[in-house]
Amino acid sequence: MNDFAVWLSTTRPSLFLQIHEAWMIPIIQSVHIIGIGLAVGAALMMTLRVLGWAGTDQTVLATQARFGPWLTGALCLLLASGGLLIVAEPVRELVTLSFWVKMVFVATLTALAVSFQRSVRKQEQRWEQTLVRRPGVRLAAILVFVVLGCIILLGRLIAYDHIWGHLSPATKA
Amino acid sequence: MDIPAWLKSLEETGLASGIRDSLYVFPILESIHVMALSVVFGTITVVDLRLLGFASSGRPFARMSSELLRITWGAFAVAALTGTLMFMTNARVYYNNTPFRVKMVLLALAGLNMALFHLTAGRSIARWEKAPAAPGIGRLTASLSLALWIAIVFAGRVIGFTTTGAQAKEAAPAATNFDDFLTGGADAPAPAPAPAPSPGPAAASAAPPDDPADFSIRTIMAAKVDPSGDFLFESIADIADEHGVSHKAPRTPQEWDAVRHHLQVLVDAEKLLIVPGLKAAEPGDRSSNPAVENEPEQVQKLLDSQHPDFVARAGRLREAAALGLKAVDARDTKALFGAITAIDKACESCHLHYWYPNDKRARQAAQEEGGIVE
Repeated sequence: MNDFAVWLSTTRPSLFLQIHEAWMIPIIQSVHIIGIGLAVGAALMMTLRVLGWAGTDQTVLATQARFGPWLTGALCLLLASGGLLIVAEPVRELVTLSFWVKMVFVATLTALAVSFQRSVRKQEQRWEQTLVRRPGVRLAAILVFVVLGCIILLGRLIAYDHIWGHLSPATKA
Repeated sequence: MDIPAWLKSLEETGLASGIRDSLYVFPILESIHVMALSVVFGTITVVDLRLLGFASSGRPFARMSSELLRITWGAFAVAALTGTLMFMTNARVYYNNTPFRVKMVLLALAGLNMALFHLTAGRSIARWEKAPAAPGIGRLTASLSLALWIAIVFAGRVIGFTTTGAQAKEAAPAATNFDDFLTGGADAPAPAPAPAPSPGPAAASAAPPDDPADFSIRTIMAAKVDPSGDFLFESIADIADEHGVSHKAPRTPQEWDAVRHHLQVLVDAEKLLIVPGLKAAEPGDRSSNPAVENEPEQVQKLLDSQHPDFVARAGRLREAAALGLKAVDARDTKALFGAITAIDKACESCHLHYWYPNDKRARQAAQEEGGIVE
Protein backbone atom coordinates (compact mmCIF):
# COMPACT_ATOMS: atom_id res chain seq x y z
CA MET A 1 0.00 0.00 0.00
CA ASN A 2 2.88 2.35 0.73
CA ASP A 3 4.23 1.75 -2.75
CA PHE A 4 0.79 2.32 -4.25
CA ALA A 5 0.44 5.56 -2.31
CA VAL A 6 3.83 6.75 -3.48
CA TRP A 7 2.98 5.76 -7.06
CA LEU A 8 -0.38 7.54 -6.88
CA SER A 9 1.33 10.66 -5.62
CA THR A 10 3.40 10.79 -8.82
CA THR A 11 0.42 10.59 -11.18
CA ARG A 12 -0.72 13.61 -13.13
CA PRO A 13 -4.03 14.33 -11.31
CA SER A 14 -2.30 13.95 -7.96
CA LEU A 15 0.49 16.29 -8.97
CA PHE A 16 -2.06 18.81 -10.20
CA LEU A 17 -3.81 18.77 -6.82
CA GLN A 18 -0.49 18.92 -4.98
CA ILE A 19 0.66 21.93 -6.98
CA HIS A 20 -2.58 23.74 -6.20
CA GLU A 21 -2.93 22.29 -2.72
CA ALA A 22 -2.90 25.70 -1.03
CA TRP A 23 -6.42 26.20 -2.37
CA MET A 24 -7.61 22.81 -3.51
CA ILE A 25 -7.27 20.94 -0.24
CA PRO A 26 -9.12 23.42 1.99
CA ILE A 27 -11.86 23.68 -0.65
CA ILE A 28 -12.25 19.92 -1.08
CA GLN A 29 -12.14 19.42 2.67
CA SER A 30 -14.83 22.07 3.16
CA VAL A 31 -17.05 20.39 0.56
CA HIS A 32 -16.40 17.14 2.43
CA ILE A 33 -17.56 18.73 5.70
CA ILE A 34 -20.67 20.16 4.00
CA GLY A 35 -21.35 16.57 2.86
CA ILE A 36 -20.91 15.34 6.42
CA GLY A 37 -23.38 17.99 7.59
CA LEU A 38 -25.96 16.84 5.03
CA ALA A 39 -25.41 13.17 5.88
CA VAL A 40 -25.66 13.82 9.61
CA GLY A 41 -28.78 15.94 9.13
CA ALA A 42 -30.51 13.28 7.03
CA ALA A 43 -29.46 10.40 9.30
CA LEU A 44 -30.54 12.41 12.34
CA MET A 45 -34.04 12.97 10.94
CA MET A 46 -34.52 9.27 10.22
CA THR A 47 -33.15 8.02 13.51
CA LEU A 48 -35.12 10.57 15.55
CA ARG A 49 -38.25 9.45 13.73
CA VAL A 50 -37.54 5.77 14.43
CA LEU A 51 -36.90 6.61 18.07
CA GLY A 52 -40.09 8.72 18.13
CA TRP A 53 -38.23 11.80 19.39
CA ALA A 54 -39.06 14.07 16.45
CA GLY A 55 -41.06 14.14 13.24
CA THR A 56 -43.78 11.82 14.54
CA ASP A 57 -46.36 13.68 12.45
CA GLN A 58 -44.85 11.79 9.50
CA THR A 59 -44.80 8.06 8.86
CA VAL A 60 -41.51 6.19 8.93
CA LEU A 61 -41.90 5.53 5.22
CA ALA A 62 -42.51 9.23 4.47
CA THR A 63 -39.50 10.20 6.56
CA GLN A 64 -37.37 7.64 4.76
CA ALA A 65 -38.64 8.86 1.40
CA ARG A 66 -37.81 12.45 2.33
CA PHE A 67 -34.34 11.93 3.80
CA GLY A 68 -33.10 8.63 2.34
CA PRO A 69 -32.16 10.15 -1.03
CA TRP A 70 -30.41 13.03 0.76
CA LEU A 71 -28.34 10.54 2.74
CA THR A 72 -27.47 8.68 -0.47
CA GLY A 73 -26.63 11.95 -2.20
CA ALA A 74 -24.51 13.12 0.71
CA LEU A 75 -22.65 9.79 0.75
CA CYS A 76 -21.92 10.16 -2.97
CA LEU A 77 -20.63 13.70 -2.40
CA LEU A 78 -18.49 12.37 0.45
CA LEU A 79 -17.09 9.56 -1.68
CA ALA A 80 -16.27 11.96 -4.50
CA SER A 81 -14.65 14.63 -2.32
CA GLY A 82 -12.95 11.97 -0.19
CA GLY A 83 -11.62 10.31 -3.35
CA LEU A 84 -10.14 13.62 -4.48
CA LEU A 85 -8.52 14.05 -1.08
CA ILE A 86 -6.91 10.62 -1.43
CA VAL A 87 -5.58 11.54 -4.88
CA ALA A 88 -4.32 14.85 -3.49
CA GLU A 89 -2.57 13.37 -0.47
CA PRO A 90 -2.17 9.64 -1.05
CA VAL A 91 0.62 9.14 1.43
CA ARG A 92 -1.19 11.02 4.17
CA GLU A 93 -4.42 9.06 3.68
CA LEU A 94 -3.55 5.57 2.58
CA VAL A 95 -0.87 4.75 5.10
CA THR A 96 -2.73 5.99 8.16
CA LEU A 97 -4.51 3.63 10.51
CA SER A 98 -7.25 6.21 11.15
CA PHE A 99 -8.15 6.21 7.47
CA TRP A 100 -8.63 2.44 7.25
CA VAL A 101 -10.58 2.16 10.50
CA LYS A 102 -12.74 5.02 9.23
CA MET A 103 -13.42 3.07 6.02
CA VAL A 104 -14.65 0.11 8.10
CA PHE A 105 -17.13 2.42 9.83
CA VAL A 106 -18.19 3.96 6.51
CA ALA A 107 -18.95 0.46 5.21
CA THR A 108 -20.92 -0.28 8.40
CA LEU A 109 -22.96 2.92 8.04
CA THR A 110 -23.68 2.19 4.38
CA ALA A 111 -24.84 -1.35 5.25
CA LEU A 112 -27.10 -0.03 8.02
CA ALA A 113 -28.60 2.62 5.72
CA VAL A 114 -29.21 0.18 2.86
CA SER A 115 -30.82 -2.44 5.08
CA PHE A 116 -33.02 0.18 6.75
CA GLN A 117 -34.17 1.47 3.37
CA ARG A 118 -34.99 -2.00 2.04
CA SER A 119 -36.72 -3.07 5.19
CA VAL A 120 -38.93 0.05 5.35
CA ARG A 121 -40.06 -0.48 1.77
CA LYS A 122 -40.82 -4.16 2.21
CA GLN A 123 -42.43 -4.12 5.61
CA GLU A 124 -44.04 -0.72 5.74
CA GLN A 125 -46.84 -1.69 8.11
CA ARG A 126 -44.60 -3.48 10.57
CA TRP A 127 -42.28 -0.46 10.76
CA GLU A 128 -45.07 1.98 11.58
CA GLN A 129 -46.53 -0.14 14.34
CA THR A 130 -44.28 -2.75 15.87
CA LEU A 131 -40.70 -2.44 14.70
CA VAL A 132 -40.16 1.07 16.03
CA ARG A 133 -40.88 -0.26 19.50
CA ARG A 134 -38.45 -3.15 19.27
CA PRO A 135 -35.35 -2.58 21.43
CA GLY A 136 -33.03 -4.01 18.77
CA VAL A 137 -34.29 -1.54 16.19
CA ARG A 138 -33.97 1.37 18.59
CA LEU A 139 -30.47 0.23 19.46
CA ALA A 140 -29.58 0.12 15.76
CA ALA A 141 -30.86 3.71 15.40
CA ILE A 142 -28.58 4.83 18.20
CA LEU A 143 -25.76 2.77 16.69
CA VAL A 144 -26.05 4.85 13.51
CA PHE A 145 -25.12 7.88 15.60
CA VAL A 146 -22.22 6.18 17.27
CA VAL A 147 -20.93 5.06 13.86
CA LEU A 148 -21.32 8.59 12.44
CA GLY A 149 -19.48 10.00 15.46
CA CYS A 150 -16.65 7.50 14.98
CA ILE A 151 -16.41 8.36 11.27
CA ILE A 152 -16.07 12.06 12.07
CA LEU A 153 -13.58 11.41 14.87
CA LEU A 154 -11.42 9.14 12.71
CA GLY A 155 -11.66 11.50 9.77
CA ARG A 156 -10.21 14.28 11.89
CA LEU A 157 -7.65 11.91 13.40
CA ILE A 158 -6.14 11.23 9.97
CA ALA A 159 -4.37 14.53 10.55
CA TYR A 160 -3.19 13.31 13.95
CA ASP A 161 -2.27 9.75 13.10
CA HIS A 162 0.96 10.02 15.10
CA ILE A 163 -1.14 9.63 18.25
CA TRP A 164 -2.04 6.05 17.65
CA GLY A 165 -0.85 5.24 14.14
CA HIS A 166 1.97 3.10 15.56
CA LEU A 167 -0.68 0.51 16.47
CA SER A 168 -1.21 -0.04 12.76
CA PRO A 169 -0.24 -3.56 11.66
CA ALA A 170 1.36 -2.01 8.56
CA THR A 171 3.86 -0.09 10.68
CA LYS A 172 4.81 -3.19 12.63
CA ALA A 173 5.40 -5.27 9.55
CA MET B 1 -8.80 47.30 27.14
CA ASP B 2 -5.50 45.82 26.08
CA ILE B 3 -6.68 43.00 23.85
CA PRO B 4 -3.29 41.37 23.09
CA ALA B 5 -2.48 41.24 26.81
CA TRP B 6 -5.86 39.74 27.57
CA LEU B 7 -5.40 37.16 24.80
CA LYS B 8 -1.96 36.32 26.14
CA SER B 9 -3.42 35.79 29.61
CA LEU B 10 -6.01 33.48 28.04
CA GLU B 11 -3.20 31.45 26.49
CA GLU B 12 -1.43 31.29 29.84
CA THR B 13 -4.37 29.86 31.78
CA GLY B 14 -3.90 26.36 33.13
CA LEU B 15 -6.76 25.18 30.96
CA ALA B 16 -5.17 26.45 27.74
CA SER B 17 -1.72 25.12 28.49
CA GLY B 18 -3.22 21.80 29.60
CA ILE B 19 -4.92 21.44 26.21
CA ARG B 20 -1.75 22.50 24.37
CA ASP B 21 0.46 20.09 26.25
CA SER B 22 -1.79 17.09 25.78
CA LEU B 23 -1.37 15.04 22.67
CA TYR B 24 -5.01 14.01 22.68
CA VAL B 25 -7.21 16.87 23.83
CA PHE B 26 -6.93 19.22 20.85
CA PRO B 27 -7.70 16.56 18.20
CA ILE B 28 -10.65 15.37 20.27
CA LEU B 29 -11.96 18.94 20.70
CA GLU B 30 -11.62 19.43 16.96
CA SER B 31 -13.53 16.21 16.26
CA ILE B 32 -16.34 17.16 18.65
CA HIS B 33 -16.42 20.59 17.00
CA VAL B 34 -16.93 18.92 13.58
CA MET B 35 -19.64 16.61 14.98
CA ALA B 36 -21.48 19.55 16.54
CA LEU B 37 -21.19 21.76 13.47
CA SER B 38 -22.42 18.97 11.22
CA VAL B 39 -25.55 18.69 13.39
CA VAL B 40 -25.97 22.50 13.31
CA PHE B 41 -25.49 22.60 9.54
CA GLY B 42 -27.61 19.50 8.87
CA THR B 43 -30.62 20.66 10.91
CA ILE B 44 -30.46 24.25 9.65
CA THR B 45 -30.39 22.95 6.08
CA VAL B 46 -33.53 20.88 6.70
CA VAL B 47 -35.36 23.93 8.08
CA ASP B 48 -34.09 26.26 5.32
CA LEU B 49 -35.09 23.85 2.55
CA ARG B 50 -38.56 23.67 4.10
CA LEU B 51 -38.81 27.47 4.09
CA LEU B 52 -37.71 27.55 0.46
CA GLY B 53 -40.28 24.92 -0.43
CA PHE B 54 -37.65 22.54 -1.84
CA ALA B 55 -38.26 19.70 0.62
CA SER B 56 -40.63 18.66 3.41
CA SER B 57 -43.03 21.19 1.89
CA GLY B 58 -46.05 19.27 3.14
CA ARG B 59 -45.07 19.52 6.81
CA PRO B 60 -46.41 22.28 9.06
CA PHE B 61 -43.47 24.58 9.75
CA ALA B 62 -43.98 25.47 13.42
CA ARG B 63 -43.75 21.97 14.83
CA MET B 64 -40.90 20.92 12.57
CA SER B 65 -38.78 23.97 13.34
CA SER B 66 -39.38 23.86 17.09
CA GLU B 67 -38.41 20.17 17.17
CA LEU B 68 -35.26 20.74 15.16
CA LEU B 69 -34.07 24.09 16.47
CA ARG B 70 -33.76 22.65 19.98
CA ILE B 71 -31.20 20.25 18.57
CA THR B 72 -29.55 23.00 16.54
CA TRP B 73 -29.07 25.18 19.61
CA GLY B 74 -27.78 22.32 21.72
CA ALA B 75 -25.23 21.42 19.05
CA PHE B 76 -24.36 25.10 18.59
CA ALA B 77 -23.58 25.36 22.30
CA VAL B 78 -21.22 22.37 22.00
CA ALA B 79 -19.55 23.89 18.94
CA ALA B 80 -19.17 27.25 20.70
CA LEU B 81 -17.67 25.61 23.79
CA THR B 82 -15.18 23.45 21.86
CA GLY B 83 -14.40 26.40 19.61
CA THR B 84 -13.67 28.64 22.60
CA LEU B 85 -11.38 26.02 24.13
CA MET B 86 -9.45 25.67 20.87
CA PHE B 87 -9.25 29.46 20.58
CA MET B 88 -7.74 29.77 24.06
CA THR B 89 -4.78 27.54 23.21
CA ASN B 90 -3.45 30.02 20.67
CA ALA B 91 -5.62 33.10 21.16
CA ARG B 92 -3.30 35.74 19.68
CA VAL B 93 -2.71 33.77 16.51
CA TYR B 94 -6.43 33.12 15.97
CA TYR B 95 -7.32 36.71 16.81
CA ASN B 96 -4.97 37.96 14.10
CA ASN B 97 -5.99 35.29 11.59
CA THR B 98 -8.12 36.66 8.75
CA PRO B 99 -10.19 33.51 8.09
CA PHE B 100 -10.98 33.38 11.82
CA ARG B 101 -12.17 36.99 11.75
CA VAL B 102 -14.19 36.33 8.61
CA LYS B 103 -15.80 33.35 10.30
CA MET B 104 -16.77 35.41 13.36
CA VAL B 105 -18.28 38.12 11.15
CA LEU B 106 -20.21 35.48 9.20
CA LEU B 107 -21.51 33.97 12.45
CA ALA B 108 -22.68 37.41 13.55
CA LEU B 109 -24.38 37.89 10.16
CA ALA B 110 -26.07 34.49 10.53
CA GLY B 111 -27.38 35.69 13.91
CA LEU B 112 -28.67 38.94 12.40
CA ASN B 113 -30.25 36.99 9.57
CA MET B 114 -32.05 34.82 12.11
CA ALA B 115 -33.27 37.94 13.92
CA LEU B 116 -34.50 39.31 10.60
CA PHE B 117 -36.52 36.14 10.04
CA HIS B 118 -38.09 36.32 13.50
CA LEU B 119 -38.99 39.99 13.05
CA THR B 120 -40.62 39.40 9.66
CA ALA B 121 -41.90 36.07 8.37
CA GLY B 122 -41.46 34.56 11.82
CA ARG B 123 -44.29 36.74 13.17
CA SER B 124 -46.88 35.30 10.87
CA ILE B 125 -45.95 31.60 10.85
CA ALA B 126 -49.51 30.59 11.67
CA ARG B 127 -50.67 32.21 8.44
CA TRP B 128 -48.29 30.45 6.06
CA GLU B 129 -47.02 27.39 7.87
CA LYS B 130 -49.16 24.99 5.86
CA ALA B 131 -48.17 26.58 2.54
CA PRO B 132 -45.45 24.77 0.56
CA ALA B 133 -43.01 27.65 1.04
CA ALA B 134 -42.53 30.68 3.27
CA PRO B 135 -43.35 34.21 2.04
CA GLY B 136 -40.68 36.12 0.09
CA ILE B 137 -38.76 37.51 3.04
CA GLY B 138 -38.73 34.06 4.69
CA ARG B 139 -37.31 32.51 1.53
CA LEU B 140 -34.72 35.27 1.35
CA THR B 141 -33.54 34.68 4.92
CA ALA B 142 -33.46 30.91 4.25
CA SER B 143 -31.21 31.41 1.20
CA LEU B 144 -28.96 33.77 3.16
CA SER B 145 -28.81 31.28 6.00
CA LEU B 146 -27.69 28.45 3.69
CA ALA B 147 -25.07 30.66 2.02
CA LEU B 148 -23.76 31.97 5.34
CA TRP B 149 -23.45 28.54 6.92
CA ILE B 150 -21.66 27.09 3.90
CA ALA B 151 -19.28 30.06 4.05
CA ILE B 152 -18.80 29.51 7.79
CA VAL B 153 -17.73 25.90 7.15
CA PHE B 154 -15.23 27.06 4.50
CA ALA B 155 -13.81 29.85 6.65
CA GLY B 156 -13.53 27.46 9.59
CA ARG B 157 -11.60 24.90 7.58
CA VAL B 158 -9.24 27.53 6.18
CA ILE B 159 -8.33 28.64 9.72
CA GLY B 160 -6.54 25.34 10.24
CA PHE B 161 -4.50 25.87 7.08
CA THR B 162 -3.50 29.43 7.83
CA THR B 163 -2.56 29.11 11.48
CA THR B 164 -0.17 26.14 11.24
CA GLY B 165 3.28 27.64 11.29
CA ALA B 166 1.76 31.03 12.12
CA GLN B 167 2.77 30.33 15.67
CA ALA B 168 6.37 30.71 14.63
CA LYS B 169 5.67 33.92 12.74
CA GLU B 170 3.76 35.32 15.68
CA ALA B 171 6.47 34.43 18.15
CA ALA B 172 9.13 36.02 15.98
CA PRO B 173 7.78 39.25 14.51
CA ALA B 174 10.00 41.09 12.05
CA ALA B 175 11.28 43.31 14.82
CA THR B 176 12.63 40.43 16.88
CA ASN B 177 16.30 40.99 17.52
CA PHE B 178 17.96 37.62 17.22
CA ASP B 179 21.29 39.13 18.19
CA ASP B 180 19.89 39.96 21.61
CA PHE B 181 18.73 36.43 21.86
CA LEU B 182 22.11 35.11 20.86
CA THR B 183 24.03 37.18 23.39
CA GLY B 184 21.37 36.85 26.08
CA GLY B 185 20.67 33.12 25.88
CA ALA B 186 22.03 31.24 28.87
CA ASP B 187 23.91 28.75 26.75
CA ALA B 188 25.09 31.17 24.12
CA PRO B 189 28.78 31.85 23.62
CA ALA B 190 29.86 34.42 26.16
CA PRO B 191 29.15 37.87 24.75
CA ALA B 192 31.39 40.85 25.17
CA PRO B 193 30.32 42.65 28.31
CA ALA B 194 27.64 45.15 27.43
CA PRO B 195 28.10 48.73 28.53
CA ALA B 196 26.22 49.45 31.72
CA PRO B 197 22.74 50.56 30.79
CA SER B 198 22.09 54.19 31.46
CA PRO B 199 19.08 54.80 33.67
CA GLY B 200 15.96 56.25 32.15
CA PRO B 201 14.26 55.33 28.91
CA ALA B 202 17.21 53.28 27.67
CA ALA B 203 16.79 50.93 30.64
CA ALA B 204 13.99 49.26 28.75
CA SER B 205 16.47 47.90 26.23
CA ALA B 206 18.45 46.31 29.03
CA ALA B 207 15.47 44.23 30.06
CA PRO B 208 16.23 40.53 29.75
CA PRO B 209 15.53 39.26 26.26
CA ASP B 210 12.35 37.34 25.72
CA ASP B 211 12.22 33.94 27.29
CA PRO B 212 14.49 31.70 25.16
CA ALA B 213 11.57 29.28 25.00
CA ASP B 214 10.04 31.77 22.56
CA PHE B 215 12.80 30.89 20.11
CA SER B 216 13.53 27.65 18.41
CA ILE B 217 15.06 26.31 15.25
CA ARG B 218 11.59 26.48 13.79
CA THR B 219 11.18 30.18 14.56
CA ILE B 220 14.60 31.00 13.15
CA MET B 221 13.76 29.02 10.03
CA ALA B 222 10.38 30.73 9.68
CA ALA B 223 11.62 34.25 10.38
CA LYS B 224 14.99 34.25 8.62
CA VAL B 225 16.17 31.19 6.72
CA ASP B 226 12.99 30.31 4.90
CA PRO B 227 12.10 33.79 3.56
CA SER B 228 15.70 34.45 2.47
CA GLY B 229 16.02 31.00 0.94
CA ASP B 230 12.78 31.49 -0.99
CA PHE B 231 13.98 34.87 -2.23
CA LEU B 232 17.24 33.36 -3.46
CA PHE B 233 15.60 30.38 -5.15
CA GLU B 234 13.30 32.82 -6.95
CA SER B 235 16.07 35.17 -7.93
CA ILE B 236 17.92 32.92 -10.29
CA ALA B 237 16.58 30.21 -12.54
CA ASP B 238 16.58 28.66 -15.96
CA ILE B 239 13.03 29.03 -17.16
CA ALA B 240 11.85 26.66 -19.87
CA ASP B 241 8.47 27.59 -21.28
CA GLU B 242 6.72 28.11 -24.60
CA HIS B 243 9.19 30.92 -25.36
CA GLY B 244 12.16 28.58 -25.07
CA VAL B 245 14.79 28.57 -22.35
CA SER B 246 15.52 31.89 -20.69
CA HIS B 247 17.67 32.81 -17.73
CA LYS B 248 16.47 34.71 -14.74
CA ALA B 249 19.22 36.45 -12.80
CA PRO B 250 19.85 39.70 -10.96
CA ARG B 251 20.62 42.55 -13.36
CA THR B 252 20.39 45.95 -11.68
CA PRO B 253 22.64 46.96 -8.76
CA GLN B 254 19.54 46.95 -6.54
CA GLU B 255 18.79 43.36 -7.51
CA TRP B 256 22.36 42.28 -6.78
CA ASP B 257 22.19 44.08 -3.43
CA ALA B 258 18.98 42.31 -2.52
CA VAL B 259 20.53 38.92 -3.33
CA ARG B 260 23.59 39.86 -1.30
CA HIS B 261 21.42 40.82 1.69
CA HIS B 262 19.61 37.47 1.69
CA LEU B 263 22.85 35.52 1.30
CA GLN B 264 24.20 37.40 4.30
CA VAL B 265 21.08 36.42 6.28
CA LEU B 266 21.88 32.76 5.58
CA VAL B 267 25.55 33.20 6.53
CA ASP B 268 24.47 34.80 9.80
CA ALA B 269 21.75 32.25 10.47
CA GLU B 270 24.35 29.56 11.11
CA LYS B 271 25.42 30.95 14.45
CA LEU B 272 21.79 31.22 15.57
CA LEU B 273 20.98 27.68 14.54
CA ILE B 274 23.90 26.06 16.35
CA VAL B 275 23.33 27.70 19.74
CA PRO B 276 23.69 24.79 22.18
CA GLY B 277 20.45 23.80 23.82
CA LEU B 278 18.28 25.52 21.22
CA LYS B 279 15.00 23.61 20.92
CA ALA B 280 13.65 22.25 17.64
CA ALA B 281 10.26 23.92 18.09
CA GLU B 282 8.02 25.62 20.62
CA PRO B 283 6.06 23.56 23.10
CA GLY B 284 2.78 22.65 21.49
CA ASP B 285 4.04 22.88 17.91
CA ARG B 286 2.86 19.93 15.88
CA SER B 287 3.73 18.71 12.44
CA SER B 288 1.08 19.61 9.89
CA ASN B 289 1.95 16.53 7.88
CA PRO B 290 2.84 13.79 10.36
CA ALA B 291 2.56 11.03 7.76
CA VAL B 292 5.96 11.97 6.38
CA GLU B 293 7.34 14.52 8.81
CA ASN B 294 8.96 13.94 12.15
CA GLU B 295 7.21 15.50 15.11
CA PRO B 296 9.15 18.18 17.03
CA GLU B 297 10.05 15.69 19.77
CA GLN B 298 11.50 13.27 17.22
CA VAL B 299 13.52 16.07 15.65
CA GLN B 300 14.63 17.06 19.14
CA LYS B 301 15.81 13.53 19.88
CA LEU B 302 17.88 13.45 16.70
CA LEU B 303 19.33 16.89 17.48
CA ASP B 304 20.24 15.93 21.02
CA SER B 305 21.94 12.72 19.98
CA GLN B 306 23.90 14.14 17.05
CA HIS B 307 24.38 17.83 17.60
CA PRO B 308 27.87 17.87 15.99
CA ASP B 309 26.28 16.53 12.80
CA PHE B 310 23.70 19.32 12.88
CA VAL B 311 26.45 21.89 13.42
CA ALA B 312 28.32 20.50 10.40
CA ARG B 313 25.19 20.72 8.28
CA ALA B 314 24.58 24.31 9.36
CA GLY B 315 28.19 24.95 8.39
CA ARG B 316 27.46 23.65 4.89
CA LEU B 317 24.66 26.18 4.61
CA ARG B 318 27.01 28.99 5.63
CA GLU B 319 29.73 27.83 3.23
CA ALA B 320 27.30 27.69 0.32
CA ALA B 321 25.94 31.15 1.16
CA ALA B 322 29.47 32.54 1.51
CA LEU B 323 30.28 31.20 -1.99
CA GLY B 324 27.21 33.08 -3.13
CA LEU B 325 28.52 36.32 -1.60
CA LYS B 326 31.75 35.94 -3.55
CA ALA B 327 29.78 35.32 -6.73
CA VAL B 328 27.70 38.45 -6.11
CA ASP B 329 30.80 40.55 -5.56
CA ALA B 330 32.23 39.21 -8.84
CA ARG B 331 28.80 39.67 -10.55
CA ASP B 332 29.20 36.06 -11.67
CA THR B 333 25.73 34.71 -12.50
CA LYS B 334 26.97 31.20 -13.17
CA ALA B 335 28.81 30.96 -9.85
CA LEU B 336 25.77 32.40 -8.11
CA PHE B 337 23.60 29.72 -9.67
CA GLY B 338 26.03 27.07 -8.39
CA ALA B 339 26.03 28.57 -4.90
CA ILE B 340 22.24 28.73 -4.73
CA THR B 341 22.03 25.12 -5.90
CA ALA B 342 24.44 24.23 -3.10
CA ILE B 343 22.23 26.12 -0.62
CA ASP B 344 19.23 24.16 -1.85
CA LYS B 345 21.08 20.88 -1.36
CA ALA B 346 22.30 21.90 2.09
CA CYS B 347 18.72 22.69 3.12
CA GLU B 348 17.17 19.61 1.58
CA SER B 349 19.69 17.07 2.86
CA CYS B 350 19.43 18.43 6.40
CA HIS B 351 15.61 18.48 6.21
CA LEU B 352 15.64 14.91 4.93
CA HIS B 353 17.81 13.86 7.83
CA TYR B 354 16.01 15.63 10.69
CA TRP B 355 12.62 16.74 9.50
CA TYR B 356 11.03 14.44 6.91
CA PRO B 357 13.15 11.29 6.65
CA ASN B 358 10.02 9.34 5.67
CA ASP B 359 9.31 11.42 2.61
CA LYS B 360 10.22 8.90 -0.05
CA ARG B 361 9.50 11.22 -2.93
CA ALA B 362 11.70 14.00 -1.58
CA ARG B 363 14.46 11.49 -0.84
CA GLN B 364 14.30 10.07 -4.33
CA ALA B 365 14.38 13.52 -5.89
CA ALA B 366 17.34 14.51 -3.74
CA GLN B 367 19.21 11.34 -4.68
CA GLU B 368 18.60 11.94 -8.36
CA GLU B 369 20.03 15.43 -8.00
CA GLY B 370 22.93 14.18 -5.93
CA GLY B 371 21.67 16.29 -3.07
CA ILE B 372 22.03 13.84 -0.21
CA VAL B 373 25.32 14.38 1.49
CA GLU B 374 25.54 11.66 4.09
